[in-house]
Amino acid sequence: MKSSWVVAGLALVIAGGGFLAARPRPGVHQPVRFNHAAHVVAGVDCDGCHATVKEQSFASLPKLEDCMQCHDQPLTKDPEEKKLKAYEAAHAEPPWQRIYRMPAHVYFSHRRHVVLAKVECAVCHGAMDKAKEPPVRPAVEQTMTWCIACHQKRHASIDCIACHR
Amino acid sequence: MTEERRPRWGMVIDLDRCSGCQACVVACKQENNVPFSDEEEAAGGREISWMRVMAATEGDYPHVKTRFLPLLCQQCDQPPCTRVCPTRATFQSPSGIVGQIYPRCIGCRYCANACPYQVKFFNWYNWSKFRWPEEMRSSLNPDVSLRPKGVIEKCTFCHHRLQKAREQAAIEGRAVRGEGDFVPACVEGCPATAMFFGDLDDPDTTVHKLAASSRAFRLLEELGTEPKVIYLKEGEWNAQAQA
Repeated sequence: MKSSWVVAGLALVIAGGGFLAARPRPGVHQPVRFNHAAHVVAGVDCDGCHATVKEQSFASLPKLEDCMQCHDQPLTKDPEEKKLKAYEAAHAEPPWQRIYRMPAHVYFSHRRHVVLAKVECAVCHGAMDKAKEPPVRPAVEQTMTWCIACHQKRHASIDCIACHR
Repeated sequence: MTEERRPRWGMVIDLDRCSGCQACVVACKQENNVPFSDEEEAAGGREISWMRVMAATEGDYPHVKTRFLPLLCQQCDQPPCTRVCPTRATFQSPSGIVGQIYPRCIGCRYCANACPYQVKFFNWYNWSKFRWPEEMRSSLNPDVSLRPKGVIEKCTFCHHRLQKAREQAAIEGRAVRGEGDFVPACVEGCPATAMFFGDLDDPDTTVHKLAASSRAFRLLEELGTEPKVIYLKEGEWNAQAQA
């Protein structure tokens, strides 16, 4: 009697697991299937699109006019590129989705990290220059322990109020 | 970045110049996203005001005089609040500023009770951006977080401004100056120039010179808390002349 319950319970767990695995993976989906690798090969630096990364605390997402500086005339036959023209015709910005979000109580400055400490973008964002598809989830799991490990390695401040606000 | 020289940031408030106008109070609330409270809240002891102007009225009519004393976190060098914190949510940073890390705070309020100046405030409500009055939302300061419910909050000497000053100084390849680079909002907002801010250890700063004045005193100095907020007492000539 008892063992039949165990079997039934196991079956439920397995069925539930299968159900979860069959569902589409959650993640962030971008309006355009942006190919980071192709842009890097074409000679566009990170700050070519994420323009404020060296001046502000935040690294901005590209505006349509930034895209149009190169894509005003089609460069490829990719249907994804045609979407840009559609956004331009509709006078709309592509609704880029953010992947990395700082908790509200954390102060983070891109300028400080990129310009002053000369931290490579890939240290926190992974090898985006090899990414042919837009990432659906953070490439690097950014936890406080991970921040502190790097701060200690580089002799940066580990004072709590240096990052918490 | 390790700091080669650690300034001892401190404030001097000249009570002779203070007119009790509350500009510092408003500047502080605006800068630090301090939540609003009404009369009922204040009567229930739930008001939050990192900076307060304490008033004391003396004498009988017609010889009445009101004295004002702006009261904020005294940023003690020997802070009693950090000693009692069970989670090290409140602690003294290398820059001497007493910090409060909200996600670490468990809201036990030991520190608020240990503080002899009563300048630590318990947050009774969940102030998300969406509970903030709509007309005030666009003026929320993005450099300061909205504190969650159930934590203690207090003046940080506008530490976020120190962050910005350090960043700017590093970009320009120099150290943060002892005076001028980093100024808290209350000092900046004082129309009577009653408040001064700077490195107390730097002999060239105004605060260093004023702190050596014979009028200088610190609140409840006898407790050994060694506050970094220094008051300059009012001249007695004022009371004598009017009597």
